[in-house]
Amino acid sequence: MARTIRVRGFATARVALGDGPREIPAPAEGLSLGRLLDALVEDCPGLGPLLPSCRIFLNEELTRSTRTRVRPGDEITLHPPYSGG
Amino acid sequence: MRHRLTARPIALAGAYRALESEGAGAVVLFAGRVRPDATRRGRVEALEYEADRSPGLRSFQAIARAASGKYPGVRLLLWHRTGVVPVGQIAVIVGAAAPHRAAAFAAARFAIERLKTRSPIWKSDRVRPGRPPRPRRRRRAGP
Repeated sequence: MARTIRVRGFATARVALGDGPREIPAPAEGLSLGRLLDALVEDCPGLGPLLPSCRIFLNEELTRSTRTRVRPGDEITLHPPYSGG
Repeated sequence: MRHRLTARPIALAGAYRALESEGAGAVVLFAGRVRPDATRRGRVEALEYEADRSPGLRSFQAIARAASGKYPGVRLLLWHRTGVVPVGQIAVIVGAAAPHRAAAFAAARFAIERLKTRSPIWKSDRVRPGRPPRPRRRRRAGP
């Protein structure tokens, strides 16, 4: 069973994560999104300045609260501001 | 297909065919193309687009729903390229079909503006290194 939370980023967030998805170890009961993001920034300091402008998706659904519970097997996606067209 | 995120070239003729219907008295098609802009690093020769596919397609559907709520009778089409798109090629097509032109024009404009801010798509430029463009001289006021 998965004991990690997968984090993917796009554009600048992808680069800040080291150009690929990250697997963050997590306890079975999960942790808050805020704590997960803190751990990520510790690992990837370049992500710090980008996070305030990122939309954050949990299993492809937009999430707005850092209190949201994230569990092993979940996927977090980081969307910096969009620039399509 | 009404909404697409694709690595293949997209063309207006196909978009027109996808929108055609007897009731569509007006069909508006917008094509966004890659420009050879001059940057400090050189001239743009291509743009590279990346997209979060599933939320991207869902955002297209949401834009289409919002447009048909705002402009009843409108049908919308949103196609966007992913990957490397060279200068001159079409990166995005937005089409709107409606019984009358006013709604078709308004819905197409609405959709492209929404796509730019609400669809998870990102671009980065690929430049051919070269001399930076000369700064423009300010004209002096005439006598």
